[in-house]
Amino acid sequence: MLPAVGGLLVGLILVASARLREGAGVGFVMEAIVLGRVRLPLTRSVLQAVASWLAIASGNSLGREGPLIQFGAAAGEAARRVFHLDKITARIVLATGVAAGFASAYNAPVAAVLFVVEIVTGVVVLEAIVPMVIAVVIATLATRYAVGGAPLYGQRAFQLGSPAELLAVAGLGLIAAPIGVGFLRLLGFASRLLRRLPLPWRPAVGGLLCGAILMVLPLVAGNGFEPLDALLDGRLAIGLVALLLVAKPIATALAVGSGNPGGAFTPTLLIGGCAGALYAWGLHAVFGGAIGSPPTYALIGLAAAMAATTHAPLTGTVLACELSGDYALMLPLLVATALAAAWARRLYVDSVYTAELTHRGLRWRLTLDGRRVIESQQHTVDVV
Amino acid sequence: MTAPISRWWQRWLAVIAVALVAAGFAIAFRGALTAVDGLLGAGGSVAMIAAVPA
Repeated sequence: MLPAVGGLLVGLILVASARLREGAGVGFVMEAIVLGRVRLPLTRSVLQAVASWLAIASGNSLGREGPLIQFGAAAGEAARRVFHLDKITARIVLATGVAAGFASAYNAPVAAVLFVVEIVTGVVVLEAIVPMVIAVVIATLATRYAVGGAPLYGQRAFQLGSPAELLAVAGLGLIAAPIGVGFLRLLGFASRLLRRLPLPWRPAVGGLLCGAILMVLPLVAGNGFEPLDALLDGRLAIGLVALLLVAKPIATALAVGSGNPGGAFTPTLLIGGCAGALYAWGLHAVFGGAIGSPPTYALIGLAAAMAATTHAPLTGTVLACELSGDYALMLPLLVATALAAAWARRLYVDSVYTAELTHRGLRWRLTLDGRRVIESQQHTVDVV
Repeated sequence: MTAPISRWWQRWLAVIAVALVAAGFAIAFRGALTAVDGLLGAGGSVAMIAAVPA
């Protein structure tokens, strides 16, 4: 019942902040930074964060990066007014807020900059990169001072059996793509299904359904940190991992689709980790001990699934390294994330973030000529 | 009302301030979640849910 109670409280907050709700979500942050035409008031972001905190604290299957990214951007918006910034500088400061929020959420400064570059702006611009780097260094230092400097999933060491195993890793990348796309479609389906319910009951119903899954499998609760940590330690049994691979996407889709504010990013890492570990167990059954361990493939799998859902292979690669403190798997990670992102985009054109924009009639595309083409029904905007 | 062109110190003060505020908020958000789990005698979301009666 706890997730349902949390969901009901979330619904009441959403009703109370109904007039402020426009502008919530990473899609709006992307629009604000790239087009500079959306405002992200701090009040709304704080309310959204409180609602998100309630949803996560009550056990709903949600990631916590969403509110942190949104608040970071809203802090940038507030800085625009406080420091009387011009429009271009204001957008850069907004981007630094997003990077700082991401860096603090995952203790991953490089991945934070790549997240903004690959997912939000889509272009590498020096006048944005330098402030972002400075911001993530400050944010990461502050976070490490407050909560400790270890990688989020502890200092680990992974390795593959031989260079030839890159072929197996490539296979994992190709498998992660349909898993990521399937998760995106599930998120969309749950959202369409539950959208018919009115507030404040919609998040409560989502929480109730999520809670029903938690009664059977408590490992599904929260953002997935504990089971992923156990998976990377090799402490989860194969049956449990298979169950998680099915239950986690469903619970997350119910939580997110019912309007509980929170991210799908961290749950995606667990889903990919489960897929990777199961894949390794399968390979072990065929090839024996010549194959790397299931935790090694879990790490590669989480990066590949993340790349498949966000279309951001570099962010996935570096994030996996920064989360585990191990940089030895850089090449396999690059292979898996590149294939996962490319194959996922062939299967489904939108990422988890552009799907949100597409739903609002804004198609968000990157082209090789260096321009981002943002189309609405009325007009097209080319941003160099 | 935004100024035509921000001065360099405005930009950098804003960047530093935003980084500190975003980090502070993230620390508080994470800390509050950990505190709730701790209040319920659990070490994380999973243990917390497992400890709560259905």
